[in-house]
Amino acid sequence: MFPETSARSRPSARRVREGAGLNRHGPPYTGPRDGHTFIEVIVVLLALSIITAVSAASLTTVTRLGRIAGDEAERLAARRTFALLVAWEVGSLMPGPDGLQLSADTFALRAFRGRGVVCAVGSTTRLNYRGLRAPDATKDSLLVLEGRTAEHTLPYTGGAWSPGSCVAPAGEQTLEVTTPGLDLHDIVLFFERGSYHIANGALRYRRGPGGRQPVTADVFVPDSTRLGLSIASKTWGIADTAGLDLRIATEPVPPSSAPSVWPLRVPIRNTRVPLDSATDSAT
Amino acid sequence: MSTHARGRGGSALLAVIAALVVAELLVLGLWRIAAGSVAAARESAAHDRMRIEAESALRDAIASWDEAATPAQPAGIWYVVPGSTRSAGSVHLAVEAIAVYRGVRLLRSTASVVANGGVRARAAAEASLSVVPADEFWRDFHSAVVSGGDVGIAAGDTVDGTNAGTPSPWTAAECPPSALPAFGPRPGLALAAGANLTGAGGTLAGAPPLLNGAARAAPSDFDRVGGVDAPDFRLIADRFETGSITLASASAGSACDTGRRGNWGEPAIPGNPCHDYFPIVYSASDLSIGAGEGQGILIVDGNLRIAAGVRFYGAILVRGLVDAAGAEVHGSVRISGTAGPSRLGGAFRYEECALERAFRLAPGLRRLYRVSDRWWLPSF
Repeated sequence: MFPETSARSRPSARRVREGAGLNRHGPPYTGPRDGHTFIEVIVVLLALSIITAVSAASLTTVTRLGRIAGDEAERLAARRTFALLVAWEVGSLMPGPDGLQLSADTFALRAFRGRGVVCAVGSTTRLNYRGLRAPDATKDSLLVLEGRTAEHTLPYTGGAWSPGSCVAPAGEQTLEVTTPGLDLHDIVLFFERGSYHIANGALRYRRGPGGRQPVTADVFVPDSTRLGLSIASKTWGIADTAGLDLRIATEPVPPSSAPSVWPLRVPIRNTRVPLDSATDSAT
Repeated sequence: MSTHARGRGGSALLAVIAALVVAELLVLGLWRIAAGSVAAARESAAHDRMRIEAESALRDAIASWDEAATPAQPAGIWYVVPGSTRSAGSVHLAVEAIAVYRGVRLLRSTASVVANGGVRARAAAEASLSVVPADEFWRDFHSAVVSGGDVGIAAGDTVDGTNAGTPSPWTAAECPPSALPAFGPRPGLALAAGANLTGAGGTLAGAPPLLNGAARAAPSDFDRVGGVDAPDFRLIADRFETGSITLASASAGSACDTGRRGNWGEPAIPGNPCHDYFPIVYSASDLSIGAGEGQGILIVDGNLRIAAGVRFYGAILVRGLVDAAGAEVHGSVRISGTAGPSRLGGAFRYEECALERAFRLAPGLRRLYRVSDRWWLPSF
């Protein structure tokens, strides 16, 4: 295979192979490389195995961390929803007239779902309405705020949208109602009777005698999550306030084994202090 | 054979590329999860912040409400509260109001934001409050003295409803004729049915000098003043006083020092920083004024004693008895007490100039107050 040369000048096969990549002066060696393919395959397989193992471990770790983070995010979101919802529902209540009833894991109340201002009376009564949903005669009642008369309730007997019949501000729609007894410029709140429950680890809402629908994920620890009424003289110029004490406990976050507890006080603004029970209390 | 060698040489590179792709996908997945969490957190934070901003704006509007500075608005029409609209960065705030019943206002504040990343959030807060209609005060304080119980007047005492002139040392500068209701002569002493005048020798004047069976003199009529129920008196009060007090105005430079005890304004010195200060003063129990001068609207949930030499300009409601000796009251007095005769020693004159200034300038009648327990409304 090699041209005839002396033994001294003839390169060894090893040198030739080494020179194939390094010798810039001679032609590269392109001959066969018998006997090394298997080793390279082994090396490649080994490398692939390592990469696969590392990738799998990374994937497992990332998945686990993602699940933990997702669970924690769910707990935090449920906790926030719990607090905001209770604050919104309770903050504008009058505990007595609105029938606020508390136990450690339940509170029942008038749940306000809309507000209207009567804009026309006569042959028909119309009001400008804004709310969480459309009024529903099968669910709703009316609370007429104090004005010409003392505050009182009326049944909501139904109505139909009547666009353009009153000048409605942005976000409001004109509703023609069949309920008698409303006066011009009456402020009317639409409400339904409802109750919130901490059951099966979730905050649930029940309208009237209906089923309890979850409004949060089931992340609460029922034995540790509690509601309580607190009475305090917090005066800020307009009114004294009472408050609803929340103790929201969510499932433990590993590696902790104890529930994560979040105490919170939600003001009840429409309350004079003291209430009927003149001492601090928790029910 | 050389071609075969070149083909095998790329397998490791492919494996590395595949591994990098897998790693990249993992990173991208993590990034998307993190980005989603950040977006959700931003939205939650923006919503929470707007809720707080809306409630704060509503409270600001209530706290800074000045009915006298608010242009008259037709009932049933929403209007933007002057000075309530403002923008801070990407946050926009506005407070609107609508007049409904007499004096009642429904207020609605909205806060909205379009933050970086396109996060939009909006929240609102609503409250129903009231201003005190001044004409209700005019109806209540219709005579020099209105009493639900017996009243005693001795020689030298005067109860005068003639409503003539401007109280000294005031001039037309304080009471321009165009601002006055020009009622003309009013009753001097107006007594509830069954109440009696005792004593002799005093002077009664007015049209008529003595009115028996007067309107707004029944016991329940003293449970309200200006349309405000007794439990709410403290809500419209500018000052709280009780016990014994000496009246003296106090100023700090060119400002009236309204925090000083006993400062019920300065009626005697036009141009004084406290000359236009007409506080609503509320005493939850008996009150004794030992000396000095004051002005405004005084509400006493108990008995009132006024010593000789005390001068007062404005309206007084006493839900008990009055014991005055040598006092001077310019305006009108209502007394509910029936447990004994009230002693009206001194001069009690109906003067609409003093009443007009008190009803127009009392800070408590220019603010919003809670008309009923339900004032904070759910917002949608």
